[in-house]
Amino acid sequence: MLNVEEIRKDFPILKNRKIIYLDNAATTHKPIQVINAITNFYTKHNANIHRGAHTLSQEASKMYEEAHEIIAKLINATPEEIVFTSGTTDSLNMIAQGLEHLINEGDEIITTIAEHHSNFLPWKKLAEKKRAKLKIIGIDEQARINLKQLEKEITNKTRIVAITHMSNVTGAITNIKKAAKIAHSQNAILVVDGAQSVPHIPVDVKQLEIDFLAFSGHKMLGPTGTGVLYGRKDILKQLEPPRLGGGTIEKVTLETTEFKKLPWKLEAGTPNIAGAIGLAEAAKYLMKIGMKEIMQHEKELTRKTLEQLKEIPEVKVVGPINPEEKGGIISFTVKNIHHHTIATLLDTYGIAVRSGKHCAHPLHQRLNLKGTVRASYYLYNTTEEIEILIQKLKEIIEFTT
Amino acid sequence: MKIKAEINLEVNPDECSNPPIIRLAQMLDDLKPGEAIKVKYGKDKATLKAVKLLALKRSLNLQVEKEYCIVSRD
Repeated sequence: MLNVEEIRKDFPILKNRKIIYLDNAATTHKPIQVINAITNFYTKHNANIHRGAHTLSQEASKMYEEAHEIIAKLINATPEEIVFTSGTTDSLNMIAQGLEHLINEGDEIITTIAEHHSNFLPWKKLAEKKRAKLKIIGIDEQARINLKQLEKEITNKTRIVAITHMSNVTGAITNIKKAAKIAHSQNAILVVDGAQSVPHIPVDVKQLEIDFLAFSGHKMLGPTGTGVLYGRKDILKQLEPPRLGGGTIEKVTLETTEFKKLPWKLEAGTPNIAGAIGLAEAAKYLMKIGMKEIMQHEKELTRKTLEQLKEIPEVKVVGPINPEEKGGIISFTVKNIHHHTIATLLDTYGIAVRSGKHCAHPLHQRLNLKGTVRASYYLYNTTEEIEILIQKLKEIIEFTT
Repeated sequence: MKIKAEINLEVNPDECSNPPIIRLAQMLDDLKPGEAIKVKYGKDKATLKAVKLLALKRSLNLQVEKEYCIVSRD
């Protein structure tokens, strides 16, 4: 069990602001360890990495390379399989652009109706550009991705299967191991959006047989503008660098270009060095607490919330109702009260939730919803906060209806 | 009392970025003494009650008319 009271002491914003922060699927707060790591880099080690003869540059290079090692450890990868990006969106766009050369007219790309726009639009664009067929997998009555349909839809023309590990709207967890088996049965590449899973549950890319994984730093206690593209080494080699420039090449002549080894050939330009160091510190923080323990804590919060929401007749939860099938993300609607109104009124009580379509318009169209209210949890949230959320929600419903 | 702005809560209520109810809450936070906001809530009583609650939590005055209301700060 997590010692949440101790954990909360690490987060300055939770001391400085009287707020119940339940918008962790959007971004998370930063512990003092992460803030200090960034400050420490800028105040003691700041320099550009690689190709520097001077001590500061060597220190910065070592810290940056260590950051790759730490992130690799978090997901059971090797450092050369870790490419730093600006976030999940950047990672997914890089993958789609970098795999373009493998897609031909008539090929198939499969994604799902439950995706965040970031794991939908790049594939839609790629399919349009290469005249490939974009196939969309549906959901069941509890908004869980229908893997049986994936089994039926996949063919020997399918090149890519792009799927979310955890829905940013419903929190539904996809059985990635099963998705990998289906994708690999036709030699398709499995691209996983891990933006909501990597920060909250144990993710082992080898065990899950993931080919590409994308996730964000700021959703896992790290700084904004940081993210990760994991690629299984043999497949990452096939990814063409979508951006070229400094840091990516070994040798250039007017006629030839010799790229550096992985991951450097995919990290063009001066990277976000301080950000990567902050992200690595966040990963160390999470691993020290334990991903399994964090997952259990959020499951308990989710279970309590679902139990209590069930007692409010005006509330309808969207997505799985079994906490074992989902992460700490709960979206709901309230009868006769607009989702933005609920979120705005909760804010007057100091409760931060998100409302709208959560960058998942196709899913909302499929569910016939104009929007939802979303509460999303992390390791610093408490059962008391959930009780206040429920109590204030009841008060708002009573007052406005 | 100076009407600083008017807002119609019936226009694009589903907008994802900066919908009218959230804009209204921000406007109320910025309201200075002697200023008022005219809010068209339409026929939806739940929306009017939400505006009431927003005004109440900020200790603002509320004058309700048919289909619109005036929120003001003394």
